[in-house]
This record gives sequence, C-alpha cells and structure tokens, in this order.
Amino acid sequence: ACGGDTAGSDSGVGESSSGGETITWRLQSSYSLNSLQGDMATNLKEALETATNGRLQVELYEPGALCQTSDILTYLSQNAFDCAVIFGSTFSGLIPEADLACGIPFAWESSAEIYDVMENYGLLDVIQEAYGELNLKYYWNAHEPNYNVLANFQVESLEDFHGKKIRALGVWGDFLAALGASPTNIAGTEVYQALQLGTIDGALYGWSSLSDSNNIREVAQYALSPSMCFCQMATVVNQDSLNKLPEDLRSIVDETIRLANIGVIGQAHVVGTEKSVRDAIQGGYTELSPLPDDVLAEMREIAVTQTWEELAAKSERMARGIEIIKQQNRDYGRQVDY
Amino acid sequence: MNALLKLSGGIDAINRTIGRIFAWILLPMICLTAFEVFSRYVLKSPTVWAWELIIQIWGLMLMACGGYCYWKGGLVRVDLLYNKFPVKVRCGINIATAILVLICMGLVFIYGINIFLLSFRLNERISSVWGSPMWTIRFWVPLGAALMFIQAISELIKNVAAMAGKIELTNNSDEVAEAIEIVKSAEHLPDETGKEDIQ
Amino acid sequence: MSPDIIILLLGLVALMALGIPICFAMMSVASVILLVFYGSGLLNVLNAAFVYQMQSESLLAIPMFALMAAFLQTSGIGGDIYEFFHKWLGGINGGLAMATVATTAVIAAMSGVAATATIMMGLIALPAMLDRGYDKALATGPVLAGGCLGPIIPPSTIMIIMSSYTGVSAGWLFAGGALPGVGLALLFIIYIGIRCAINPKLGPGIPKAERPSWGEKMRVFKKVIAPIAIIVLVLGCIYAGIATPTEAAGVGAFASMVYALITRKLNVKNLRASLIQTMEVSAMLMWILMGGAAYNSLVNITRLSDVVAAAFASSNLDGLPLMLLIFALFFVMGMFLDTTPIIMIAIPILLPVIQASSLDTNATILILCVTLCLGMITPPFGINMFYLQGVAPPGVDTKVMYKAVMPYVIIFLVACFFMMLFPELIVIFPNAAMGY
Ligand code: NA
Ligand code: NA
Repeated sequence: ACGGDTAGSDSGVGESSSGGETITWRLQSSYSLNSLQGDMATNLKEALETATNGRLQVELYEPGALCQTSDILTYLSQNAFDCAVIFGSTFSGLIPEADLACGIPFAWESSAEIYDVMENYGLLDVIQEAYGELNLKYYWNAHEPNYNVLANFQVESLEDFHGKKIRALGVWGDFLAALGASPTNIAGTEVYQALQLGTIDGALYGWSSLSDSNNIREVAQYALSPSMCFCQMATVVNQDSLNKLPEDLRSIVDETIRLANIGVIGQAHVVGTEKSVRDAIQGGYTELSPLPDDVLAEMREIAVTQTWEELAAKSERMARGIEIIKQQNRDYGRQVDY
Repeated sequence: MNALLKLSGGIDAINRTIGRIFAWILLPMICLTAFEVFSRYVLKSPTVWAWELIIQIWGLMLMACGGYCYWKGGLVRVDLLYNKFPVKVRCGINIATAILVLICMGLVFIYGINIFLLSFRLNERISSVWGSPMWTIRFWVPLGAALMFIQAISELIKNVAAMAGKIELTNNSDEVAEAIEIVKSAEHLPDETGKEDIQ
Repeated sequence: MSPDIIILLLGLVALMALGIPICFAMMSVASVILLVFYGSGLLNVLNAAFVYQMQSESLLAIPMFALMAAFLQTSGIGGDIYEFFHKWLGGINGGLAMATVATTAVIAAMSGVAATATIMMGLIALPAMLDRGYDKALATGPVLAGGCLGPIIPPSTIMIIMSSYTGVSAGWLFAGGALPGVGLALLFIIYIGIRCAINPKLGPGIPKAERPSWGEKMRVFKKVIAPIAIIVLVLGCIYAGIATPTEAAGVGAFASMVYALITRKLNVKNLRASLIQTMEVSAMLMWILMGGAAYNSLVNITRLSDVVAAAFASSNLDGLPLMLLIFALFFVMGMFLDTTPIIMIAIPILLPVIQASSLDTNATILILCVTLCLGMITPPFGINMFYLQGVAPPGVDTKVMYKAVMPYVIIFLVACFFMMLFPELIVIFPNAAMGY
C-alpha cells in the first residue's frame, strides 16, 4: 500500500547526504494513507517535494509504523521523526491546548471562522506557544467540515443521549459525558468493528470517515446534524528538523506547509468530505438525522457553560484561548454569556 | 567470583519473587473485566475507568515479569542447533545474549526514563474522560528494562562461571515438563478415572 | 539492497539460528541497525514499540483465554470430556482414536493454544489406546494432529496476534476458523474410520460385554454440560455481537473460576499455579510481540517492505500462484519456527503484497493461520511432538511420531489447497457471522 507512494524516493538510507544535498524527512500520518484523510499526508509530501525542487524528500509512514497514533507528539518531540499529520484532540492529555486548536463544541461554523480566529484573533499564537514547549511547530491543516455523532440511534430529546456508548476524543468525550452519554476512547481504526458489533452506539468521528475507503457508512445508520463544530487537522513539525534545514530551504518549507494547508490540502479535504457525505446518503447507507432546535440550544448551553469553563479552568493559557473563542463568538452575535 | 555469584543469586531471587507476586495482578484483571462487562451490558452503565485501569495493571505485570521470564529461560528460542552444541558453546551463546540484552535494555532504559520524565513533568494524562496518568505506563517501560538489565548481569555472571567450570548451569525451565506437570496436577487422571472406567 | 536491509534479514536469521531467544534477537537487530545507520532520535522507536503493544486492548484477550483454559483444566474438564466420548464411541473399531480427535476439538474450543490438548490426550488417551492393542502410529496420530486444532477452532492466540498485526478482525478470524477446524476434525475421524474398517487390527473396538450401559453414558453427559455451557456462552457472546473477544474472554475466565470454586476444585495452591502459568505464557508472548513491534518499525524505516513489494510487483505474480508461493513460505518456515515469530517476521513484509494483489486479504490471512497450525506437527521442529515426547509411553519415539503425523499432514495440505482454490467459500460463514 505505502509502497507505491514512495517508489520515487530511493534514498534508502535516511539522512545520508553524501551525494547531493537531499534531505529526507519522515512523516507519520494519523490516518491510513489509502484513506481520504490520508491524502493530507500524500498531498503535503507532493507539495513539499515540488516546492523544494526535490531537495526535501518526504517519506510517508502509515499510522503505527513508528509509534502508535496516540503517541505521535511524544515521539515527534523526541526527534524519532520529523513531522506528522494529526487530529489534535487525540493529544489533549499531553497538550490541553490541542483541544482548542482542533475545535471545541459549538465554536466554529466555517473555514473562514477558523481562519479568522487563528490569524486575526491570535488563537494561533496561543496554540503555537503550547506546542512550542514540546519543541514542536504547529501548522493548522485541512478542515473537517462535519463533526457530529455517526450513530445507530436518533435524538428527540437530550434523554436520548443517556447511557449511549459513543467513541469520542479529548474535550468531545467530556462534552458527551456532560450530555449523559458514556464516551469511550477507542482508536479510529477500531471504530468500524465496534460500531458493527454494537460495542459502541455511535462515534464522534469526522464525516470524512464516511468516504468509501473508510466504510464507516456501512455500520452507521444515522449522521446527527448539523455539525457541532468545524474542526481542523494539523501538521506538526519538530522544531529541530526545521532548524537543521539550510536557511533558504527552511523558509520555503515553512511557507509551503502553511499555504498548502490553507489551499490545496484544505480544499481537497473539504470537497472530498462533502462528496463522501453525499455518496453515503444517496447510496442509502447513512441518513441525516437533524437534532431538534431546542435540543441543539440546550447542547450549546451545556457546552459553553460547562465544557468551555472546564477547559478554561485548566491553566492560564487555556483561559486565554477560551476567552479568544468567546470573544469571537460574541462578535459573531452568538450567545456565550448565560 | 563468589561475590559475583552471590550478586547473581540475589538478582535471581529478586526477579523470581517479583514474577510470583505480580502474577496475582491477573486476578483483579479478570474480576474487573467481568464487572465492566456486567455494568456495560446488564446495568447499561459502563464505567469510564475499568478498561483504563485494566490496561494500566496489565502493562505493569508484563514489564515487571520480563526479568522473571528471562531468569526462568521461558523466552522462546529456536533450539534445533542450540541443543546440539557442547556446553561451552551454549555458555558462549548465552554470554552473547546477555551482552546484547545489556545493550538493548540499556537503550530502552535511558530513552524510557527520558520520556517518562517528560511525561511526568507535563503530567501527561490518557486522553479520555477518566484521564488517568499516562506517565505510569511510560514508567513501566524503563522499569521492565531495568529488571531485564539486571537479569542479564546475572546471566552473564552465571555463564562466565559455568564456562570457567566454576558452576554447573541449571535449567530453571523445562517448558514441556512444566506444561505436563500442570496438566497432571489439574486432571484427576490418568490412574483414577481414566483406567477404572476402561476396565 | 542496502546494508541495513541485509543486516535486518540475515542478522535476524543468524541470531535466531544460534538459539538466542527470539524477542532478544529482534530487539538486538533493531537496536544495532538504529545505532549504526540512523541517528539517536530514531532509537525512541524501541520504547514506542513497548508502549504500543502494552496498550493493545485486543492482545488482552490472550491472558484472559489462557486463564479460562487454566481454570477449566483445574476443574478436570479434559478427563470428563474424554470419558464422555470414550463411553459413546469406544465400541467402534478405531473408536478411541476418534474419541481422541473429538475431545481435542472440544478442548480446542476452550483453549487458545495447542499444548493443552496434546498433553492431556498424551496422558489420558494414548495409554488407553495402547492398552487396548491399538497400532502405535494410529494411536499417536490423533493426539498430535488433534492438538493442531487448538488454535484453529476459536478461541485462538494465533488469530488474536494475527489480528493485531493485520487489522483483520479477530472475531472474523475466529468465525472463519470454526468450519475448517471442525471440518478437519471430521476428516481426521473419517480417515481413522476408513483405516480401521479396512484393517480392524489397527484399532479394535471395545468388546460388547465391556461397553458402558446407557445409564452410565447419560451420567457422563451431565458432567460436561456446565463447562460446555461456559464455552458456548463465551463464543456466542462474540458472534452475537454482544461483546468483544477480550470482554468475552474475561467473562469466560471469571465464569470458569467461579465454576472451579463451586465444584470445589479450586484452592489457593492451584489458583496460584494457574496465575503463574498464565503470567509466564502471556509475559513471554508479549515480550516477543514487543520485540516484533520493534522489528516491524525497522521493516518500515529501512523500507524493506517496499523492496519486497517491488520485487513481487515486478514478478507479476498474482492470484493462485501468489497464494501458493506465500503458503509455501509459511509451510517451510513452519518446519523450523514457532508460530508467533513467523507472524512477526513475515506478515509486516507480506501484508502490503497481499493487500496490493487480487487476493482476498481476510481469506488469505485465515488460510495462513491454518498453515501456521500445520507447522506444529511438521518435522523437524514440531512443537506438539516435543509436548508428546514428554508424556509418551515407552515405544512411542520420534520415528513413530513422524510416521503417525504423515497422513494428517496430507489431510491438512489437501484442506489448505481446497481453501486456496475456493477462498470465496471460506469467507461465507465468517461474513455472515459478523454481519458483513
Ligand atoms: Na482454540
Ligand atoms: Na514444524
């Protein structure tokens, strides 16, 4: 599977730069390279190799090839590899701010809003400060437009969440617990089987997982809508790996990752996800199940008054991040003060 | 040499004892599993902590008992050639093994401590609702490496002594003999039931 | 090929051939290559391998199933089951040999490993058959071959490990193993029946006067009901989608502990023995798996898997020929190696090839699991023979064992070829069981 992608880079031995000045980076993806989400890594590789004229080669690794997905940041910070494509909430136990970067319940409704809060409201600085403590540089990556429960139950009132076993990561688990559900923290690769066996009743899993390469649509009857947040994936790079690049190359690489994420990769992912959702619905696999307005309002109140507050209480920096998100929501005319 | 052999005996005793004590972790493990399955499927209210706790203590048992397995000689090897070698060659192979283990486990220990300290400093948690510490699991790794490391020292001493003819190597483990012993002790057979009924 | 790949392959073979414990051989090769060819940062993947395996919830099924078997054993179930089949089948020519196969099949359903059934039958059934004037080879064969069914009929340690390495669901593999396992047991029984029908002297039936009454037959039946209910409950839970294999195994272990308590067979002494036995088996397996995970990382880092994949791609091998080649590889490795190391060495390299080919990944992995079980009776390294050697009555030596297993190896091979020819047939049941 991963063979085809890297057949071009035949510099078998890692960083030996004996002949030319080719530098090789190792990138571990949090998503199977064959999947729609895996395209983020493949696209990034292509963008970097093109932009650097082949001076930087990127070797792609499947999830778990170098370390388990939930350990990516730990081992990335220890220079075990150079960069990674991640979903932040996986790492909230290590970096609480990863939750803020990834997206918290009812924070954002579009890519533009994320762009706004990151670049204009200064959330990116807060996030980068936190990742910096692990010697990592954070780049925001493609957006996950639909983040809500893929379920085998429907919701008429909040009661319907009670006792439901739902896979959820980081802050999303806390939020579902606040709704009365029983969140479990299983790996993305196990979601299919768990849904199928009924080990879980639903999974909070980006809807890009409805693509036919993931097959989640075969085992998830409903997609609760609308999206509870526009989430974002990230590219994370080891700061040492960046620093070791020759100066001219460093600025190209830095700029390429930033722009590729906003442009090619981000768009490809959003478009791919929308197509997947359409296919899943038209193919009769998964049905959209809208949450009633009053339920949605209650959920928002619980998120803002409980979940956001708990996050803010974690540290001074978390409080700063939450205040930024609140301010943005106020400016957009949404209720955050109850 | 005697002092070294004493040290080796001490190390053996440590790992033997640890193995025998930590095996009991299995008992709470199955009880917790049964409890969790009961609360999940019968009471419909799974706990947020049971599986995490099970994984925590299971990791502890595995890592703590590695040194025991090495002492016991319970680690699988391909013994087609090994069994045909004269004793001295076997000692030589065991010495080489011990040196390799010292290198590997030394590396795992050093890097493991490093990562444990990082995790401890950041108070890393498992990203779940219960959020139990992750640094405990990170600590089991250097712990297991250390126990394996000291066992390698003991094996090194024993095999060097055996090569010099000072001691005779004893076999702590006969996988086959032991498996048989267990079946024999568990079955009320063959003399009692089996044959009585046949005749 | 680059030097790191050569060391990765040849170094491992050399260390293993010398008799260095397999987990250390794998970790050593990994450490040395990382130290020599790659900088210090990558050495972290050794630790990563440990943490990864330790946190695998699916591998937790291994100690749970081991404990379940240990507790059922404590309550003497092996003897009870054999007594049951013995009383029911003893009268037929070759009946005791058939009873042995049937018993191993049932024990297989409660145990994840092969050792239990082989040793139990070596102790109980083999002497009984020889006492009755059975031919040595005919009596020995079912004990050895029956043991192979252990990891084919679910639950199965081999399948749990295979599942964690390939991503094929353990439940699917379990379901997939049920029919081939039971089918093989039936083929073994038919073979014994034919042999003894042609030449009754090979396995004379028990004379009429000595056969048990119907009352006795029913009495034994009652003794085996409870433990069999536990087994059915555990496997049923997995297939009905009620619980994961790990959960079911934990419940099975707990239930059989309670059963052993109720029947007053459990005391502190054998509880302790069961726990230590299970700790040894699972810690040993997990250390091999951790070594295997480290090795696996090196297969990725050195791009060995790409080299192999490219070689296969350029050879244009696909379909049945590819399947046969992989099967042959596993068969030959099975002659020399234990099952777990084969999985760890071969699967990371071959899985990408299998996935890229037109072969059905699930079916292929299932066939390879069966092939691995065959390896337990193929000389020169046939682990079941070593177990039997320890308990065999005088006169049953290696020569007898080699002669005894041959017909079963052939039956096995025929079954494997059948599965390779009709992979679409063997996936029907597991797909249905898992609701695919
Ligand atoms: Na079995
Ligand atoms: Na063999």
